[in-house]
Amino acid sequence: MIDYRGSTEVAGERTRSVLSLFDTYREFIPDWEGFQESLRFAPKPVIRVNLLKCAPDRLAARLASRGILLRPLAVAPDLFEYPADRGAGATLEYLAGWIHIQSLSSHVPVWVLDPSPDSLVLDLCAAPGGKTSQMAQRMHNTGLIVANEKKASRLSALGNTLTRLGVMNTIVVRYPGEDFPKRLKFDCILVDAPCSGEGRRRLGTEKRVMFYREPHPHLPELQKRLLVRAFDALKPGGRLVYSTCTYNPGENEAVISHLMREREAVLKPVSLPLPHCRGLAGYGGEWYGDELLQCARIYPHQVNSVGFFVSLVVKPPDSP
Amino acid sequence: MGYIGERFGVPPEWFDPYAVGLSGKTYYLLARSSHVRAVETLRLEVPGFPFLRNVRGFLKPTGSFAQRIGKAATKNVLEVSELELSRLARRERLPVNGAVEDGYVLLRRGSLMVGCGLVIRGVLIGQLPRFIRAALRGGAWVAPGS
Repeated sequence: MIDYRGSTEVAGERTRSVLSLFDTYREFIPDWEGFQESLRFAPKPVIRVNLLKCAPDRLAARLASRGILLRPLAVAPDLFEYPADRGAGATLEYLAGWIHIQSLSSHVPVWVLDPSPDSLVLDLCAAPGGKTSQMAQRMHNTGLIVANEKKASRLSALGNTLTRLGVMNTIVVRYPGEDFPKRLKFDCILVDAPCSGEGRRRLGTEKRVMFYREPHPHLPELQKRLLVRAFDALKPGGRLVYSTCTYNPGENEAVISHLMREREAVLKPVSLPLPHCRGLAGYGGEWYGDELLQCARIYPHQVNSVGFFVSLVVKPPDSP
Repeated sequence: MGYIGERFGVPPEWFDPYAVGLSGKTYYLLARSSHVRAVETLRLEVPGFPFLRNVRGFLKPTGSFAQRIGKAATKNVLEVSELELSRLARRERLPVNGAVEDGYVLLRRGSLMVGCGLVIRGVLIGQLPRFIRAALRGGAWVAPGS
């Protein structure tokens, strides 16, 4: 649930609430003061140029002619910082699918998965489609992506994103991810799981709480079922990325640790062009294992973006 | 494909990388792939990229398809100003200034293909996608001359 309440009283209460929300994570989030300070500001807007429709220099020139100057981001040639006061979603370029607005760190899961052109890919929790379209772009609109979304109410957002961005290698299906048909085997699978969204919790520029979502006690169980089912749908030698936009180890490392106990999954190191921290080997008295250090944790004060957790799992080539 | 080629001058080879499917009244394009057979057993919600709709017996290109073919279209393309786009978004009808035949036309603003329109006896009726109409009506805008 997104809460945009903005009265002074509620805002003050929520400000304290958000700032104290993550106290239990103090032991593993580095530069605690910097982290807390970062919650007071919205991240800088980032756009991805849709290479399926236009080249970055063409877009940059077109926007520059109207006084909108893009600042390239060193981490990827298709990402740009967009002036915060110019509303990227209110341009013809956006409406025509030349650009997509997506936070910097939410691009990371697809970078790590790195689906090849011509491969068969499953996006298990696809809506609203930003990462699906990013994969299509990376695959040059070849191969086939199965974009799955359980909630009917989110299918229209998914469809709109894909058609606006000119994605032509994707079909949309609607299964509960945890019961996705087992008979199909994929080269790559993205599980960008539903989560408590802690990494998105910020105080907006008007001191309003953005993206406040009530805790959901059943999420870890759902996440475990999603991940195990996704792993079962991998081809031998296939790659799987599990990601969330939350800090909670119970939704991250604990979920991966569950998979490692249930299946012969191999965790691979995540290497990123962004500042990040290693995963946690244990938390709150629970031991996940040293291999969990290979996961990546992205914190907002290190990248001026949304907090994220990313892990890379491979199914051994000799698996049944 | 013959209709698209004849109406908009899109060369047939533009469609070579895609397979065409029909679901309900909508035609879809999907990148050709050896994987398509593997997913035939899935229950599909959207079988690809919607590109044509059968509207009362006439084939109407989708706005997204108009944007996708871009420069490949050489016939029945109308250049429109931002003011004209705004008026089309408000469902106004405009006199046609270009050399186009009656029927569906593609609307272009500079180097950017915006969507579709329908020309009937020299009058242009906007067929812009709903989200574009809403954005244009809401002042989602760019500076003149873009």
